[in-house]
Amino acid sequence: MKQVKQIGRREFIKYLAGTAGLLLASKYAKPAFAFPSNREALGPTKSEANVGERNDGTGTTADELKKFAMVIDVGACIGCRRCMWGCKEENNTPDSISPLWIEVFELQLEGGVTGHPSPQDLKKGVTTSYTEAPKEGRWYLPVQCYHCDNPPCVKVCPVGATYKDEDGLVLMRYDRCIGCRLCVVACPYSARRFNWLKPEVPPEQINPLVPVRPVGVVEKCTFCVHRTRRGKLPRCVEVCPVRARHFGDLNDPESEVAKLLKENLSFRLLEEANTEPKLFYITRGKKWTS
Amino acid sequence: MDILARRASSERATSELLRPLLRTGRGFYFLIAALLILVAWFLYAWYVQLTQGLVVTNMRTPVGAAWGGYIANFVFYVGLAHGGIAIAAAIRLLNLHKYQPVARMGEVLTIISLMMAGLSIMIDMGRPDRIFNIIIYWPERVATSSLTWDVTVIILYFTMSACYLWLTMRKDLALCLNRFPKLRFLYKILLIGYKPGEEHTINRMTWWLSIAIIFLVVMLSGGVVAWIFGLLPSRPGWFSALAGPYFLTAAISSAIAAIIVVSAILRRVFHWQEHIKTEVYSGLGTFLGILTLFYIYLIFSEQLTMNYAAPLAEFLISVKILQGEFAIIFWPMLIIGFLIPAMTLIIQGVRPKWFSLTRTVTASAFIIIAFWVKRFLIVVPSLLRPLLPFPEGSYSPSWVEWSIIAGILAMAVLFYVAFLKLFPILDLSEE
Repeated sequence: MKQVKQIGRREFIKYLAGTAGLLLASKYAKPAFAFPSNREALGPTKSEANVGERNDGTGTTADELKKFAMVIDVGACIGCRRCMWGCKEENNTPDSISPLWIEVFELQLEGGVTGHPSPQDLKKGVTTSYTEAPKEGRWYLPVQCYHCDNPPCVKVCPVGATYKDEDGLVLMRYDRCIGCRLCVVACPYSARRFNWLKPEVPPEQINPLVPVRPVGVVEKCTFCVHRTRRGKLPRCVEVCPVRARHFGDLNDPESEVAKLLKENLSFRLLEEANTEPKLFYITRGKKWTS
Repeated sequence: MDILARRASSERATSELLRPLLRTGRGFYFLIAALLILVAWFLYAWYVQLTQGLVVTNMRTPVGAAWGGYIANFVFYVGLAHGGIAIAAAIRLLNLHKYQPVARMGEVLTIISLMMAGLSIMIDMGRPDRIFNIIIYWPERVATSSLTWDVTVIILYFTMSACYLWLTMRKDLALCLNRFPKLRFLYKILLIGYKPGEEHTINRMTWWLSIAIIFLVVMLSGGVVAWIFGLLPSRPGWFSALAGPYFLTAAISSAIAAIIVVSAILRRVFHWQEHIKTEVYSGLGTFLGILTLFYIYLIFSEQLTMNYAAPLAEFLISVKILQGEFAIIFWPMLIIGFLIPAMTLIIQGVRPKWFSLTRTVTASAFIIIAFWVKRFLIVVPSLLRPLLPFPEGSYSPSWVEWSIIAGILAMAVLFYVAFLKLFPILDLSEE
């Protein structure tokens, strides 16, 4: 039986120090060494933010001076859902994603801010789904991803597939997502969608500015990052026939959203969830029904 | 007794201990055939899921449950994986040597359960081809992601338990190195660096290893697995400081119950009545009874909190479980699965005259099944009622999910049987 070679204490400590040194060095070594072909997959650093196509499909970069937000006038919304379908067209959302990124609830006046039908109402058959709008005595509440400033989805993602960018948008890296759906269960607003099957979008309907997602990844509203970073409005804001939606840069005191929030009482959903959503609701407008 | 007779009886004892390795009956082949059929069906179901996507399950979002049977399965198997260390701790740290015979059975249960837990997760992922992203982006995410913590602790726990099993197996492998020529190569690999006097060092190593593993156990089941659920206020019913102790108690209870059932089956099949005395079962049974009773108290505490003056969301989830669509599985689980077995085990513990091994094993089997159901009830009801007024959904596993869950169980049994046929499961050196 071979004798195991004995090493002394001093030698052992030297080995330990050497290993620790190597580990420390590798921590600070540039990621490019380790994964030369995956440079951008490790997330945009300040200097890399200006380099070429990023894998959210926008090919644009964040402006750290901006803080994007949206304001929806609940009093004006007539529940026509053009925002829903416009978003679907713009973002190549397949039929297999249902509900869509935007969902519009029809609520009764007594429902309160959350508007959940009570168990008694549910027994009577009240739902939040509807096909014709507007109705007397109902109000309409569009919801979507709120691009929170304290997003639980970003916190729990084990691979960093969802991230909060410098201009306030919470975005997705579709080629990193492993489909674990922890972000889906972590979002208190149920804003995230999962591709349970391979999405199919007819080629002639594909918007080339937006990636078509693969099966098994999570997706959600991006505040039309491919438009808003180029100075345009999100599609839902553009198509709203009653101009109930407003979008802009909160850091700019002259922007529409900043002014609206200064002049009107606004609320956000589930304030107590401490997520700091960036979609505000106001009730300034009157319903436009003619 | 003279030397020849003593050697003969020692030989007989060793042959008894090595019975699984020496004899292969007809029943074994039937069992293997049945298990292989189940595993083949499981692989087919998984193939269907991989080619068509997770749509073949009944999980849906946001109307419906984003997580379902697979995650319940994962939590269940992580729970079972505590068996090995529970027994090992009892033996090494509390010096309860009467449990020594079932030690390795528990450790093998641990290793196999952890593998099945990992498999359940991999099957639940939308992109299992990207599973290594969890490792690649570990440095970036370990600071904030509860799932990354979970992966870390599970890998640590698996590594340490595997080491523990390997270290404690060496002396027995050395003893039967020459008995099984076909396995000699395998044993030689595992006996790398073996020296005859190494047991002393190994014992010291495993003593410290058990302490480290116990700390990990609390961090694992009472920690990271619980925190995937308990830290999220988005799901009423999940968000609770009780999540840690809740999951930990469930884990240790289900693990002990599994050890009772598995070791009792092996004891009967291989006629090891002399080597595994009933005092093992009376001790484990009483402990299981107390733990299960404590778990019933935790269930009561949780439901009371969700009912008394709770916010609407919690209240409605509790109604779902106690009176709604899940009541039909909750109440039988509570009464038949937990309460009656727990009372049986405790009464047997208080009155040793009434002890019956069959009763203990039956009670443990019911408790294991009840724990799987409980995991399901933790994962699913809270997901069915979003905080925003989306329509409520429903969920029960599809045929693909049931096939895969059954197949994972079949695979676990298959691996266990494979271990039995390759390595000694009882300690050889204590005679």
